[in-house]
Amino acid sequence: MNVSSSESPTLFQKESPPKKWGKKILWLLILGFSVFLFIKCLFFYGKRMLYDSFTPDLAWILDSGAYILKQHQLPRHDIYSWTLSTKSWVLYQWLFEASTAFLYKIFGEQGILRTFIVFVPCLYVLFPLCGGLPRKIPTLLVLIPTTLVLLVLTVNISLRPMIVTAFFLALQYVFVHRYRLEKLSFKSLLLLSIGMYILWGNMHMGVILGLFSLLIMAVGDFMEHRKIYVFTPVVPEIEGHPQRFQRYGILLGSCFLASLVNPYGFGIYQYLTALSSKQYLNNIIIELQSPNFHWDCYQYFMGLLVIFILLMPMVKKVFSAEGFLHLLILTMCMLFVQRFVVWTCLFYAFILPKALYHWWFSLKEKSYILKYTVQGFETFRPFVLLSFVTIGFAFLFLPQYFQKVNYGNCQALMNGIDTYEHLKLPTDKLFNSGNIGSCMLVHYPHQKVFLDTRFDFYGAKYMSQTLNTLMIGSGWEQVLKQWKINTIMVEANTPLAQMLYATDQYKILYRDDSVIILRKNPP
Amino acid sequence: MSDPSKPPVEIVPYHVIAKELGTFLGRMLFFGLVLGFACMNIGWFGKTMLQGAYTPDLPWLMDSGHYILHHFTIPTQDLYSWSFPHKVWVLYQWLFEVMLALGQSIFGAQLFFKLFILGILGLYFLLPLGVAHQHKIPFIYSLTITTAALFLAAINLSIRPLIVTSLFTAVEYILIQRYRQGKMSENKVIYTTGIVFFLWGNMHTGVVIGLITLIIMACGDALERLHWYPFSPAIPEIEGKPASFKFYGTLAFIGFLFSLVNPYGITIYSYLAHLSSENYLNNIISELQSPNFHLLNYYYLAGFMGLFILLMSKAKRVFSGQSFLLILLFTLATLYAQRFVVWAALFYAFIFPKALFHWWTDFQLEYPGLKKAVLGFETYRPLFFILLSGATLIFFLFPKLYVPFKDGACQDYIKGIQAYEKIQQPTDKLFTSPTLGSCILMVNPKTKVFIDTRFDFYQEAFAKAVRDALLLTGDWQGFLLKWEVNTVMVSKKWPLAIALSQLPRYKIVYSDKSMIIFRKKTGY
Repeated sequence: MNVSSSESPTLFQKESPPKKWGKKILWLLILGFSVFLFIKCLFFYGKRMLYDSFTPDLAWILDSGAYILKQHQLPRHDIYSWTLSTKSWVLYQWLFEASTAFLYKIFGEQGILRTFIVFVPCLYVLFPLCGGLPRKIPTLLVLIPTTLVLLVLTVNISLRPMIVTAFFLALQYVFVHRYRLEKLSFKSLLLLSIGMYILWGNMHMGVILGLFSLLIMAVGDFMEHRKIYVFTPVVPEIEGHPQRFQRYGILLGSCFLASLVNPYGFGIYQYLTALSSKQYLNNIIIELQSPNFHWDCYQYFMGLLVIFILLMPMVKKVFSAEGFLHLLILTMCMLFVQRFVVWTCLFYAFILPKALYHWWFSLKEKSYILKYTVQGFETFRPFVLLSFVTIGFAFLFLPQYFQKVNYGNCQALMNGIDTYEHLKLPTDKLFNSGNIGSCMLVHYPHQKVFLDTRFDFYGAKYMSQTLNTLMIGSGWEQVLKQWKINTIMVEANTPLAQMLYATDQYKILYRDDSVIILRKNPP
Repeated sequence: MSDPSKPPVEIVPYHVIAKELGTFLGRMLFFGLVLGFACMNIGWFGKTMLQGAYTPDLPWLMDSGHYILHHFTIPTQDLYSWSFPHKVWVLYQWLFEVMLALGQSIFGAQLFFKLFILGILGLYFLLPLGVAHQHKIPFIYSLTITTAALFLAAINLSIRPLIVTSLFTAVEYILIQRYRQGKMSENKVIYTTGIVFFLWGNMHTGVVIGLITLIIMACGDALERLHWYPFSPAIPEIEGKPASFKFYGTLAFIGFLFSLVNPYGITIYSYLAHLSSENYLNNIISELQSPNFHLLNYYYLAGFMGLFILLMSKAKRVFSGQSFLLILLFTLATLYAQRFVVWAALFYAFIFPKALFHWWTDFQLEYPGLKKAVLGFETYRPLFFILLSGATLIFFLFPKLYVPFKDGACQDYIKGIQAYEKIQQPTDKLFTSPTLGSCILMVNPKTKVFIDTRFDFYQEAFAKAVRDALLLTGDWQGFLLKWEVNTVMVSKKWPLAIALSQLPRYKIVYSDKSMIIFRKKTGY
């Protein structure tokens, strides 16, 4: 059933709740439970992020940013390893690094991590709730998918350049939809997009995902134009009109050109292609693997997927072509490469509320409980927003009442790393794992490492040799000989450490549950 | 002047001929692609099965079957390990093991193996194809779907009891569909279900999948009966009518009751519950992990998921309540634990051809060209079956052309194990990896092993300690000392192999490119 705008619901009009006591209690219970779940989800997210927002990558991201700010130029060669110090290093995300380092200077380590932890729910929950999506959509229908999204996100979101892609994807989606709703002129859209792509191209290679999303929108709108997909939304005014393919063509071309305004030009795309073709790296980097649905975060994702599937029987009433294509294609991408979860969830956060609204609007007259629960929740909207803002502000400005954001995977390694700083000799030729290398850079950026988590920089061959050595696979002895290694600092349960410890070739300098430091005995 | 008695010669314009020719060639190309796709799937399935159907589990499955046939009793204690010789061993799949042993004795290993592959082809491809043919579903749909499902399932199909669960799930599904279509009486379905669950309960703990499937189907039919899911299929006669909850209740009760007629009674269910709670095992057994979509077979799973989502746009025309729930829940289960893929693929093979048929029935009215193309493919049915029969004949008549990879995962270790037989000492306390343990049983079932692939028997703590030792994590030296291990036989890929080669107290007594055997020197 299509409705004209005059028939569309006004959320602010007073709706009388059910009159019978039994129904009233049920209604209140559902409402109370929804608010409780929302607050609980926020705390669940916060608890997880206290540990997960920091990744070992952050150390070299901050330090290289500081280098750029100080030297006013990009480093051309590696500045962290003692093994590949002359190898050229492509900092395709230099602007993100510089900006992060700048914010770090202002807010400090805890400040920047806390800001990030608050920023993510702002992007994924608050933005759709306040401005990102049409205000007509009831709060509850926005909160259900977005809070689920927030829970899923904890699996792979951290202070890394990927957040920039999530942010710009959200902006682009909102801009294009405002254009579709005729609230933004094409000229403004073009100018905003160009500005955005200039920044994006300098901050993350995910800029290609922006172009891809634009292409999906173009194809979706083309399908609607050609009546290949006949979209008859229940509430048309929240969807806008499909736009011409030519317009998208102009937009795509301009955005692509704008993304080339970076120190490496077209090189960023070539670099991405080269990286994607490196099978070995793709196989060892966990976030490039398929998702593990044993993890609770991905089980929440199953919940989102089931909502998507259950809405499919009404597809042409609830999903625009581009909305449907976005969800379908990005879900498939995520099944292949779990890194996509951050971006796939973003589209779930922006598309599902609209779809749920269409569905609810077509059903609300049939189910009083559905109608009153959704409309009744509007009275809680100020409370939800207030609690959101209060928790956010308290977390940012009253840190003494909250747990400290810790070093995530680096936390357990820090004692060993600090100890090594006192034990190290000028003659040391240190062999270390990737995580330890990056974690060392957190406190000791001048320490030269054997390996850190810049796997793309080190390349497939070097990585495979190092990982083989850690697992005492083929050629491990040659690697130690080739680099004249005399000191080893690795995770305590690494086969290499266990083996060297058992053979008396090395003596233990330090050992705890997480780290072991060994130095070669003199011959 | 033209002769009025002769009919006028019709001159067909060139552009019409060109158009006809183009349509003809386009259709031939399309049909060729579909046939090629189907043949490729069956070929891939064959290749996968020749290489992977023989798993390290097979030696102890076969040998325990022979034991039962020989002694007419089920072993109560372990037969294969020196580490737990008196521990109780629950052979909840004893009847499957007996069947395997019988099959091997009657047909010989090679022929039995090939018959098994043919059986799987029958179950996943020919049976759904036959059912689809009965429903007059166009061949193009049934062929494409069933061959794709066959290839998808192949990723985890091997000579193991789970195939029994696939077989009985298919039987259960067909029985209920026939009842829904009014082609089978309630009593017949109930009797047959009793027999099926009796056999099932003695062959695989997957019997619980049978009960779950029944519940899912009952829920699906209840949704329809209560009009919560108003299903109005395009072709009602292939779907039948939803059955009552009472009917499913009776089936589930009879099924459960008959599944208890086994040597262990209700213990098979508590055993399964206990196994599922062993988190460490669930985390290291690869078939209990989520699927890796980088593998070709799982591209097909992604394809089926995509197809499901697309067809959901016409859900109430194409999927009955139970079909929808079966596809949804088994797909989610597969995402959680890839072992479920063999059962998800089975439901894909039975349900998707029907769903596509419903969709096409509505769609063909708008696109008559599509109708022509789909029906045109029917003429290729005989050709396809001639090709398939030919390939099957070659498969059986030319044994040297298709040699099953008989030693499977043990292939690389056979030489080393045989070498160990010659240097074995009575005082040996041999440590192996689980796979090597099972491979040893393949070469000589009388050799006592430290561990094999019966993880459920050895249980979580022991399996973890062995794995820790192989990876040199935890107190691996203490573990070897505790069990007084004096001989170690491991694959060279394990860190333990490298570590022992560096230790002076071990000497290498055998080494080849894949494995290494150490013996502890005297005096240590």
